Amino acid sequence: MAPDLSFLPGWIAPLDTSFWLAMLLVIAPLAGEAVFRLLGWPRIVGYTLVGLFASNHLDAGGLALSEGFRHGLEVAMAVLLFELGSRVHLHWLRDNPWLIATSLAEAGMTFVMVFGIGHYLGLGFGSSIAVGAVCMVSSPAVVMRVASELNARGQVTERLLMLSALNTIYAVLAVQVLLALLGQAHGQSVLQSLQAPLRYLVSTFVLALLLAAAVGVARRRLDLANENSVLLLIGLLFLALVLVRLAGASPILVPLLAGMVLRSRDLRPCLWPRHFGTAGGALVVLLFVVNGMAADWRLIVGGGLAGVTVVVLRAAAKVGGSVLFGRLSGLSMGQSVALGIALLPMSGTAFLLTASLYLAFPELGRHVAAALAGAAAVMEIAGPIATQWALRHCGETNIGKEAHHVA
Amino acid sequence: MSLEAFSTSRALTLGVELELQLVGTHDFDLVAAAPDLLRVLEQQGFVGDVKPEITSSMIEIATGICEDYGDVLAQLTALRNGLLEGARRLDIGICGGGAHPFQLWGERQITDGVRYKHLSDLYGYLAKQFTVFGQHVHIGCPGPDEALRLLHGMSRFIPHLIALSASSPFVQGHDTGFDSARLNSIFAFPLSGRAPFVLTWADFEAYFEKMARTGVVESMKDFYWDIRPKPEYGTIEVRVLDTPLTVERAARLAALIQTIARWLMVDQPFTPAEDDYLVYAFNRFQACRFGYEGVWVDPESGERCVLGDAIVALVNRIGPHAAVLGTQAACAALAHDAATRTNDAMWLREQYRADPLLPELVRQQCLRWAE
Repeated sequence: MAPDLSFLPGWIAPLDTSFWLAMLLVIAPLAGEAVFRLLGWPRIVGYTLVGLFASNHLDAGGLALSEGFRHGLEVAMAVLLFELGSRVHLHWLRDNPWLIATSLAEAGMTFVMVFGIGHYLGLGFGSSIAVGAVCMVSSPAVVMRVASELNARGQVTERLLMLSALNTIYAVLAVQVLLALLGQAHGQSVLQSLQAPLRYLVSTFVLALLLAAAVGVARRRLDLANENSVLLLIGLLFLALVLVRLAGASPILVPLLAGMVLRSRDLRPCLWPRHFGTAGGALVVLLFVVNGMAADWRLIVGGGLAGVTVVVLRAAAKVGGSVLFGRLSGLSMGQSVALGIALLPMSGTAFLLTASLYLAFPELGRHVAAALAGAAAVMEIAGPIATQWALRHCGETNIGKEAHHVA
Repeated sequence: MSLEAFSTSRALTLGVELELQLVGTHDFDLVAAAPDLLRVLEQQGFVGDVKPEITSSMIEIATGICEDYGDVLAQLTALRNGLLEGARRLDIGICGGGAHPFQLWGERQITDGVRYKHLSDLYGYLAKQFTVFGQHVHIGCPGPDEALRLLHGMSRFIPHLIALSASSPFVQGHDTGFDSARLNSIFAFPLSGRAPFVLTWADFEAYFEKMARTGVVESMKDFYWDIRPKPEYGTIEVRVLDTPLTVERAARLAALIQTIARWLMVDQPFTPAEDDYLVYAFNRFQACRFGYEGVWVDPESGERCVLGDAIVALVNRIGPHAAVLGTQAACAALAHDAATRTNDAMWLREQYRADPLLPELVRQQCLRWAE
């Protein structure tokens, strides 16, 4: 499974990045299947492990950075975020306000705890806030992917998707607030410091509405279960991402909010093939491989104690927050705990979030990234397993069906 | 286990049970939410009879003993509203309809519990195929012999009730061409169909003893007959109805059955005979397959007519009893539906024609149920 290809003859070395891309596309699905069959883990753990090995054993860095490739991955991320958004039923928050309480509790407690450790470890005020904000996120990509791979359905699944969408939004907003605060600390006036975050949020909302409107028109006219129409959706997402870059908006919020707007404005069921079919599916595989590349073995092993502390306290906060209002929101104790555990994944988004920090304040961004790297690397592997365990534990997956596929 | 004694109940009181579908609001497929819904209902202090069913995406509500149509409608409406409140907290949909249009039976989960486990082991995939949704109507009988007489008198009107209640044209993602495809799932069970033709409780007890001795049945619950006596309640239970799309229609159907029962009990317009059952399976099939347009063969005269017309004629004939019971409006509404050939199966087909997306159809069913 390990793609350590050093035994291959020397003529392979000068091969271009498309060779490595092809190799990844061959190896990642094999690894995913191996992990699934042998260990019963979600396939994305296999993809991530391939990435992890590749980054340590191969010179595939050039691949990860090439621009076209990066855009492809952004589309994959956007596909997952849009899928997630279109599952979030905002009316539910009105019908069951205890869900809002649960969401605020799990995200708020996570933020406070992680901020506390950051501060304790001497990370500095700004960096601690940033680390706390980023740790609130329950990776929407991982959550969406695992839930759809397991075909999970039920209360814990629906709430997991809802809470993951919400805590992603909180984190993006928190980072923007932080940027405004830092701007002031660097001597900007209030108006000046608010300018950038406001422009960012407004352009994000506008683009999200435009994307939702475009998909809304498409679904009225076309059958979205059809392969051709699905390609149109991928095209629209791609176009939206290009505009996001031009307008300096949020590549996370635009697809997520667009999905949510679409779901809330038009209740007619919106069903398309998972990850928008095979093309989207292939991009999603690569996304997780590259996520794995971003992590580093040495950080897991060496970056050690701080990372482990963050992971443990974050888990306590997520489970605690879910349990706090679990009963009032209509869950059983077992389901509340499972929900907290299912919320554990963190990864890709964490790095995307630090990107905007990094751009504005490179020094701060580096600090945050270093502090997070260990925790994120551990959770890349453990997160999907936790989510799968939780969803299975409360009987929201169809285990018989999976067994059938293996047979 | 022997047959329990037949309790007495006041003649013509009635009770209604409805099996309902629980669906997700994202894809509108069935969702195994019964345990969640029951827990939430308990929390909100829901009063009323609500039970899990064989697969965990079904739930059953039941009225208490009702006096008349108004009582049934009021109780069903209250039950529905309580259920909807719980469902909103869980963001799940509830709807009527005899079958879910596109669920795949293989994905259903059998509810926890000894009896359901036993049924699942015994019947295998039939147990999961049994994820169909019916309305059961109990009619109070003054005594066991009267109950059997009423049962065999009522049986010739089973096709009428099927056509009026039919609401399961789509199964496993396709239009079956049947108005009530649900009943096909029930025919598969070895002890389904009609009750044996015995007119006294003593004979019925003898029949039950013989069946019990063979080990084929243990209790009345093992019979899946279209109409069966329910000694525990002192009623007969009509079980052929698909769950309608609205509580109003469910109440109307109960009212019609009550009115037919009064006519049979009071007027005794004919004497039930074993030969009535010669045309039973034919008539029943015609009603399931073609609804109002099915052929109905009069078991006595052998005359053939269109079922829709037979329904109108029946309602006209029992008019005086409707007047006594206060069910005129309910019966007239059903006769009007029969005359204009409208039922829930047709409504479903029309919706689907207008927007051929089955999840959207289920969403419309949910909206209709909440109306």
